[in-house]
Formats: sequence, C-alpha cells, structure tokens
Amino acid sequence: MQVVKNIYKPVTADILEVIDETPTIKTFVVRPRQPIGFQAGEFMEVTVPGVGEAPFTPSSSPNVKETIDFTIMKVGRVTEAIHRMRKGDTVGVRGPLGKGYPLDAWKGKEICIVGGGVGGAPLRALFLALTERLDDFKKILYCYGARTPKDIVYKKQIMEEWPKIDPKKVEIRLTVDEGDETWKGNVGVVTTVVRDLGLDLASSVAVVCGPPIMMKFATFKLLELGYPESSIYLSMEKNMSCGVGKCGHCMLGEYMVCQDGPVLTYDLIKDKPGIWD
Amino acid sequence: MKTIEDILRLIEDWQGKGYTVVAPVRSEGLVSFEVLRAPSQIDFDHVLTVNTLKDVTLPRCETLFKYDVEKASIEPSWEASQPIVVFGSRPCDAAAVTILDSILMGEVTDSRYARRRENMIVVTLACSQADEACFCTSMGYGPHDPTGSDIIGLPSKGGYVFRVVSQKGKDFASKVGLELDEGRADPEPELKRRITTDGIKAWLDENFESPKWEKVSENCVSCGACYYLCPTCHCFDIADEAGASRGVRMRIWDCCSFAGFTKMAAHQPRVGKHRRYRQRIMHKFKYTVDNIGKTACVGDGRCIRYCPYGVDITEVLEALRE
Repeated sequence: MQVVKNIYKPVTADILEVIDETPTIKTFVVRPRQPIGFQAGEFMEVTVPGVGEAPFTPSSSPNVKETIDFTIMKVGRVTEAIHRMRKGDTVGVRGPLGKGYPLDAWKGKEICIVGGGVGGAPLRALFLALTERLDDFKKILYCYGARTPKDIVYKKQIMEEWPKIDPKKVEIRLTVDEGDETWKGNVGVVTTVVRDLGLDLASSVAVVCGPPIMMKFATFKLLELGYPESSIYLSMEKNMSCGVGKCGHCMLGEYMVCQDGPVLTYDLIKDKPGIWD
Repeated sequence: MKTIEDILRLIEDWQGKGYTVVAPVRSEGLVSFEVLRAPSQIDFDHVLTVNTLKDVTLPRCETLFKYDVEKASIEPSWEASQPIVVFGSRPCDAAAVTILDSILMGEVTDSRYARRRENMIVVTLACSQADEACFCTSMGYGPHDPTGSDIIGLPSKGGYVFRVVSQKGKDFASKVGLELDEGRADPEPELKRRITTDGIKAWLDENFESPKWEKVSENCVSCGACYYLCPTCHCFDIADEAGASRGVRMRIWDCCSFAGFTKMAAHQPRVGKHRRYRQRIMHKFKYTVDNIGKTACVGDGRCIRYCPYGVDITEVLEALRE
C-alpha cells in the first residue's frame, strides 16, 4: 500500500488583486506559489488563515496557468473573512477537487449555459474554456440572470466583450428579476430567456449553475424544451468539507458530491432525494 | 492454550520490543481502550469497551498541519509512526475496522488513516459472553468471527487459543515469537437479540419519504452519543484553531444528528430532526451498501446501550420494514 501525500494540505497563494463585482460579490485573483492546474467545473478549498476552509469553483479560464480567480459572495463566516482580505494577503488553496465539465465529450456540440447570481462564477471558467477553443463547438448560448442590474457579475465582460467574441457562434442573453432606470434588457427570472434557443437539441448539451431554486426551474424548463436528462449538466454545490469523499458532509443519496460531482448529469441524480434542497 | 498469566507475559514482551499496546482498561467502572502502561491493567471480564478503535485509527481530534502566514510555511504534522498492537478488541470492533478501511483508503487514500493502519496489528479476544444489546450475528458477524483481526484469541477453558488470521498477523507472530495454539475453542455464546435484515435495504431504496421517519426518530434528542460510540461512524469536520497569522488545522469528529452538520452560510438543506436521523440510517444501511457492498453496522450494540432516551436501532429497523 502506498501512502500518498497529505490530502488536506493546501498550497499558499498570494492575492494579487481584488475586484468588486457587485455590492456583495468580489473576485480575488490569486497566484499559488506552486502551480495548480484545473479543469472548468472542478472546485478548490480556499483557506482563510485562522478562520477556516470553504469550497469555491474557480471563475477564471483554466488556460491561465499562473493565477486563479475566485468569485465569492459574502454570506457567512469564511466568506466574510475573505471579503476583508486585500491585495498582498495570503490564502491557502487546496485542489483541484471533484469532476468538472467534460469538454472533450462535447466536441462538435451546441452548448446552452444557464446561470444565476454567483453561479456565474464556475460558468465564466466554462465559458472562457469553451470560447478559447471555439472551433471545437458549434454554438454557445449563455443565459444569465441576476436579481437587479447591480447584481450582474463580470458586467463589463458579459455586456461588452463576450457578445463580440463571435456573433455567429456565441450568443449572450441577460435578464434581471427587477430592472432600474438604466436597464433596457429583459426583466424576469432566467427561465424567461431560456426559450426559442435556435439550437439542435439532439446535438446539444445544457449546463445549469445557480441557487437551488433557480437550478430546479431551469432544469424543468430545459426538460420541457426537450433536452434529454443525460444532456443536462448540473453543478451540485453542497457543503464539501474534506473534498475527497471521506467526511460525509456533502452526500446526495449515495453520491459524495465532492468526488462524484460537483458536475453531475440530471439522469444520475433525478431520483436522489432532496436534490433541490 | 494460553492462560491469562501467559498473556500478560506476552504483552510485557511486546512492550519491551517497542510496541505501543492499546488494550481495554477499567477505570471508574467503565472499560475503555487506552494505551497500556502495565499489562496488569488489562480487563478481561467486560463484554465490550465504551470507546472503539476509532480512537486509534481516526482520533476524535487531530492536527492536520500547522501554518505560519508570516513565514509562509505549512507544516504537515505527523505523530511518530510507532507500531501499535491493539490487544483485546472484540470481533465486532475488528470487523468495523475493515469498513473504515474501505471508506478511508479506497481510491483516494487518507494518508493519516493509512499510516496508522499500516502500523497497527489487531489482536482480538473473541467473546465468551454477550449482553442484551449485542446483535453482531444479525449483521452477519459473530462472537468468534475473525473479520478484521490479524490474530484472534478464542476463549478456551479459562484461557485463550491464538490463531493467525492475516499475513500481517503471521509476520507479527514470527517477529515477536508468538506461538500459536492447537486446541479447541469454547462454544460461542448465544445472543438474545436477533433481527433479520432481509428487506431493509429494499425498503430504504423506496422510502426516502415516509411518515415512519418522524415516528422512529421521535425519542432522539440529537445528542450524537450514538455517533461518538459507533465503531463505523466516521464523518468529520475540518476547522482551524488559530489567530490570523499562525495556527493549526484540525480534523474533528462530526455527526449527522447535529443541525450544523449540513448547514452552510446561507442555506440549510437538511431541516428537521427526523431528516437527520434518516441520514444516519440511510448512510449505514443503504448508501454504504451501494458504495462498498456492506452495511456500516457491525451489531456491537453501543448505540442501544448508551442512548440516553432508549432509541434502539434494531427496533427502528424492524419498525421501518414492517
């Protein structure tokens, strides 16, 4: 029996930049002192020294090797502590953990991405990974919803840069639950823009990431539009603690979300109890 | 056959050869596994210790590493990897070790657990008595079952006959010059408590939602005693004990009966005592079966013996399936 490395030991990483995305969400650009590669959708445990660890999925392109972005909403103990950190501070990063999006299996397909709120973080890593090898895919439709225009993450990229990448192949659809005087786009929950997709469902896959209630209705909408259950990829984020399938916190039926997921297709988990809880 | 005096001399010899011996010791009326100071401390008369071999393989609380932000250092913390002989575990506790092995070693190996297991020899003393709570035979084991033991001592005419079970046991026996015994073992004690597990997995497969969950968990007070005393419960949490610049990262036992077990900053996916109790039963009798092919229960009966409100897992299983 071979005794492997300490699976709980993080790598030290320096915060290079802190970007305010919305009133409650910041992106932290960190540089690990040892290289950590990852695939879009895989997650990492981020340590705030003295406070603890919490799981986050990188939001930067996996093709960027030097640095990793984490887009983090302030909701609890660890995230509040991260939000107090500044450029020059250090965090710990452990990973990558779990299974991400199977991009190679999607070659030649049309990809429909549906995201909400801070769920836009893993989806940006995915969107960048896809568009950086756009020849491999037929079309990318990115549907994203936020509560108000102020709550849209990566606003400049998503509104100005991404629509210009390749207007024939890449389409961005945005919506907000509640508009304001500046907002000229769609108003309504994200499922209101998930229609008339113009995609060939037989050769398409869908990806959903966001708050549980949004994931539930987006999945039902995609099923209604005719997506097969095995073509809907969900990011099942739970309270992963050890990240390596041992500690028992993130169980979804018999699955350990941290090992078997976090990306799981709907057919695998639809009968698992409490998937939208 | 070896008498108790023979056994005490053997243990002294092992200690002299540098082995740390962990064995049942009586203190204030309770018998627990402890690191033995002298062989005479060993208690041979109890049915089962209060604590389990988790205290050896997966301690309640341990330091994973120390860190220092200013020095930018993260130092893994290893305890000295000394060889440990666990002497006098019962067959149920030895069997439980094999379940934890499948979970904690498997495809991804928990190196701390693996190192302790590598350095650990399990010398079981099989049972000559059972109490009202014992139900190992219902779970497919038995008072003389060798599963998980490296060497097993079977009761025989007031002493024990020692047999080798595993290659590791064989190597240990030849290293310390332990002579194995011919001779017959006494008959196995009869267990009064007996349930059939037929149909339990099938019921759990179909009944995640059932009014029975509230009923069977009615008396549970979510204290977590059953978790702490269970030889197969292994869930844990990872937490820091530290100031902002220096500290330690700990691993600590955690229990699915606690509301905080699944709670995230903004969300509690498992609301209600009966749902948490359901997770305990599902994890033991369905999910672990799905994942490693056996239940996470060895019928040691500690949860029945020590539950302050009399929740009885065998009654629960029967009530669910009825």
